Amino acid sequence: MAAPSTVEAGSLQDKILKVVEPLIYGPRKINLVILVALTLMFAWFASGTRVDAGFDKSIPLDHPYMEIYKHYEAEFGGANTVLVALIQKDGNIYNEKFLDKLKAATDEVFFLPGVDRSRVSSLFTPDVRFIEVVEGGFRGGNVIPAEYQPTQEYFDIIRENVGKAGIIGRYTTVDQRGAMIFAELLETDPVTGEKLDYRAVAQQLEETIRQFEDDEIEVHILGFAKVIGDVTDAAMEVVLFFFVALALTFILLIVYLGSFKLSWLPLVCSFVAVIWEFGLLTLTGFGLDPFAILVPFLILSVSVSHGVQYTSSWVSELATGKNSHDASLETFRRLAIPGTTALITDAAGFLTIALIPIDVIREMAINATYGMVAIIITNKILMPIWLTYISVSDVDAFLQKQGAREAVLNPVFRAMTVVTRPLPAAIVILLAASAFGWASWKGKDMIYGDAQAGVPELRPDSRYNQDTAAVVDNFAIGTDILKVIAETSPDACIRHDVMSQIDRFAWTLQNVEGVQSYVSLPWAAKQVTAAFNEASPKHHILPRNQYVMVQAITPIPTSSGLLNPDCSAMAVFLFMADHKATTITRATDAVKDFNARNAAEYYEDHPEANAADCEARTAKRRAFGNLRLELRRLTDKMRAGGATDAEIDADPKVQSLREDEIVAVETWKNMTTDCPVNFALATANVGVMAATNEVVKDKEIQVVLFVYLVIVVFLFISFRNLAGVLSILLPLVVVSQLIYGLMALTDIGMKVATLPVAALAVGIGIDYGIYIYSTIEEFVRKGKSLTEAYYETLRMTGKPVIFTGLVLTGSVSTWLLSGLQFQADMGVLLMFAFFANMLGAIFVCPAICRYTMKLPQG
Amino acid sequence: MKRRIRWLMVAFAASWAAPPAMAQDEGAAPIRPRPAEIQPLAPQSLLLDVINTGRRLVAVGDRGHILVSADGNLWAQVEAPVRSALTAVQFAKGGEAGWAVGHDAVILRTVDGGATWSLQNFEPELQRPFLDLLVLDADSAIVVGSYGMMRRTDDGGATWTQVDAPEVLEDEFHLNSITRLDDGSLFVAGEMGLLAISPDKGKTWIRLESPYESSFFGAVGTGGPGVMIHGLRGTLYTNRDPLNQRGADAWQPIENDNVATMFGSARLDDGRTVMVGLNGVVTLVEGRQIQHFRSARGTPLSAVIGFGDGLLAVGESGVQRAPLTLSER
Repeated sequence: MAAPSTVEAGSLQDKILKVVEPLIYGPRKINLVILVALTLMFAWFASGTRVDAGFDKSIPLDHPYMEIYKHYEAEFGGANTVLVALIQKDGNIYNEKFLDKLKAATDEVFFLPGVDRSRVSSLFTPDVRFIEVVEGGFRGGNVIPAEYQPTQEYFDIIRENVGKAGIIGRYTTVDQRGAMIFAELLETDPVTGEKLDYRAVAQQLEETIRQFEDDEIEVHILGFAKVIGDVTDAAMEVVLFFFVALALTFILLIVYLGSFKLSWLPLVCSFVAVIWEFGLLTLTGFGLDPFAILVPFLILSVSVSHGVQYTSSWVSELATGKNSHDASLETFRRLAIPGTTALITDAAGFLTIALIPIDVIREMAINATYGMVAIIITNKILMPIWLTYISVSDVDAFLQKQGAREAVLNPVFRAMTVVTRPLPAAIVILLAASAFGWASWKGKDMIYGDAQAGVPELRPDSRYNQDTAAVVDNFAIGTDILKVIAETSPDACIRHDVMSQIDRFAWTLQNVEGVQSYVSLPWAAKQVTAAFNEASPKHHILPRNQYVMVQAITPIPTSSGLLNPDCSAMAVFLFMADHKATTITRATDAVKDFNARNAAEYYEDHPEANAADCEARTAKRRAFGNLRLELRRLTDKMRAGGATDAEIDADPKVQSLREDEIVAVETWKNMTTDCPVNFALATANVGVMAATNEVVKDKEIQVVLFVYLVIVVFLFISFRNLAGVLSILLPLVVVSQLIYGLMALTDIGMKVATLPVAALAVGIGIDYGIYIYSTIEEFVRKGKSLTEAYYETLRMTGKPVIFTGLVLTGSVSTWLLSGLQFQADMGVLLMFAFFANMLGAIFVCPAICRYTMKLPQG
Repeated sequence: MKRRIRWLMVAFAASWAAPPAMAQDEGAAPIRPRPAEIQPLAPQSLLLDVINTGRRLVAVGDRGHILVSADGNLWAQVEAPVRSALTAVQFAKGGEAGWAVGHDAVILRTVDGGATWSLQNFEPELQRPFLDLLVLDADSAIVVGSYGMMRRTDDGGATWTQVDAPEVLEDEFHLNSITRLDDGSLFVAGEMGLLAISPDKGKTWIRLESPYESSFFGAVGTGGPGVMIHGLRGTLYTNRDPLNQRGADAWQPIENDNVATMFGSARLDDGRTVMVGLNGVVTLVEGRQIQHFRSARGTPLSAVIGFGDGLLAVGESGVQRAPLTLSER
């Protein structure tokens, strides 16, 4: 069976090959030495790969919500919380053992690395106070008195105080069997400027806090740090999956290639590619984010796919009687260009996901692109050179074995050529079109974000998500909180009109489906006002009188998180029923709607106020917020570099930023124009989710279109005709649309973890299409009928496409067993992508060729 | 001009009894009334009074919420011209004409049984609430409020005039409630043990000597000229004829071991008196016998009526019903 002479003389491909070929095949030994040396160097770097997790890099910092989040992080805390709940199996918390444990656990939380000590809060911290009405006035105090002794008398007092403080459901469970400790983490240590090591926090949480668990008291720990800890632990398991996939691939390669020796090649080349990827990553200063743990799998998969093509083709060339060197050279001529094109397209596709302004994703894009570059080198340089040194000891016996296998497969391939006939081709195209139609219709049900309680990264039955469920079941607050910042002028919280706007806002939001309850400064002020009026419900109002309002607000400390020190910003806590994207969107839409209506009403009632001035004032507020952030980042960086406070104070850049900040704040304060309260989205965990969902939704179409654009451009450059572009692109479009349908069907949401898969499914499938189409075209150009050309294609490149499609589907199926939910989700999507892309390439691609390709007569 | 107030200093200097007028910003635009917003959760929000007009139930509460119901289960919010908290509602016989009052000295009028309401009085600058009202007939009513406010209309609310009763009003105590006793005399209970009675439909008022120095929140007729009054921390007194027995010792205390303050009260058809208040406590009094139970929600209650087989109360968690088979608790 004659392999077609590969490249037309004088074509662009020919010109490229003429340059590249001598470079690779000339100094083979030197090349090999260089490659081995580089691999060793990268292996050395790769061994130093560190896990690099961060909260800030997992959120879209450029999103306007996150601007608010960063600006008010210092005053209202962020979303990087740690919650520790101690829940007793029976009886209430008012006993010596429980309270001792709660106190000890609170103390331990204080000593967590990176904890913001001013925000640690539990029954034992002094910020938790109660107010009580007594004849002749009211009094307040700490819920647990300073002179607390473990006696029944004090247990009774504490129990009463907890009731008076109105903290049941927040600081204690609803049935008072358990209590909560709240804390927040600072990502950069304010003293040393060092970046927080989340794994150390997670480890300490397990070691010092979890140990309070015993037969009677359960300990539940929640927070980003704990998620990172659990994900990283599970990532160790991921490494195991990696080697299982490697072993599985190896066995199947042996079966497929019929040679133990040959099977090493694609495997080693793939493994070397992963080493290069890690080496490059570390060399350029990145760490491996736990959420990017799947990238090495992708590299491995894509590399195996190309390696199998190459080895398979080399074997075919051997069969024509060539020696190892010539077979390698011939294969190189045939596959180097389409293979590299596919890989460059992949790399470009990976890079487009960097359009999403979330640092984790951007790192993933860079990481994967490194991998693609590594594959080009290992599969298109290392592999060809290596093959020239491979000698098959008994070529005849090997070829006979191959021939015997072909005899089995050839009738199957022959039967498959039916798709190149006009009618079956039309049917295949129609089927693909209807699949596309179904997927487009079903894909509308796909959700953004996720629907599951707890965190989507971990399995629903994981310890973390069970802890979440325990907290949600036993406390009234839940774990899904959206915080909106009400921005106004300094000291405005004593003004009835300002407070009533905030109050109306909270009430309006509570009436939105999915918002369960709220806490706000006006809400607290109303309680205090009623308390001043003998607790009469008829005085449960916001006083119009400023002096009375002052009295209502004075007992509420800034540590409540409801107001900032100058009272120019107040936080409204909205406790959400869940964090489904639809729930979040409904709430954020309601916030925007209220903000607009409220402003309109305000300008109607206050003709002296004007919108332009108010916008200018908000802009000024953002400006000094940005200055503060910039200043903080700078000083953090200097501290991390070992600068002392005195050195920082003396730094001219710091000084000028500080001056700018003071000026900006003064300018803002002098803008005394009366303005409606501005309800700014958003902080807390649901605020972060809202921003992330918006970014994902916003960028998703852009990313997919960009990937397609890249593909169209590369395909056109490679094939210079419509047939090539259409017959490779259209199956990919159908498959990527089907992925949306699949996501809707399996309730997998479009989120940070799944967006890369949805976008990259396109890239994963493209090498199949390119290998199939380019071979068909080659044979057709040589004058064969489409049916014959396709038959030959199946025997040459089709066989490895089918093989890799099946192998990759199989190896990814192990992901379904992963302890990480997002890996299992990605596993489902990738299995489908590998398999469907394979089907698309071998059935739909030739069918489209039937109608688009310029065919010879007959 | 805007005044910037160092509010912590002010908090130190100001006292609760400070006259309210001084806090107004000079030259500020007058506050315009804004209509209440219709919201699905209104029946579960803070409600302060409820009444059975004979044709339907009407409840009023926070944020200008007015709710009507035929059966006590299904409540519909109706449009109201203000967002101020409404503290009390009452109708004349026939259930057509009525008033609702509230904070910002709001007085609302209805003549169609509570379906539509018009604004008769709105004085937010006064910074005083009306706390209760008594409807004498379709054209006449008396409203009472904080700082000795007591106004009257006899023309359906076209004009409201401050009642001239210096003996009762000059101390500027909060007047928490106004009630008609079974013999037709009118009874006012308020802050600092204030008690007053009018034998002539509110034309003249007599200040009564009080058995108690702290606040009374309500009074309920106990047959003929008799009255029961309830105050802070579970305080309860009765007097069989307060008009004629005016000494402080004429008030008989009722022994009550529950110190929850009772804010609202009603006379049930079987002659018992029911009171509701803090922590969702419900107090039933029959003669000198006293019983307590708690509503399911345990949140403060403001007003109560007997309805159907049981009680219907309103408070912080909106409408609460107690399936009260009255003898069993």
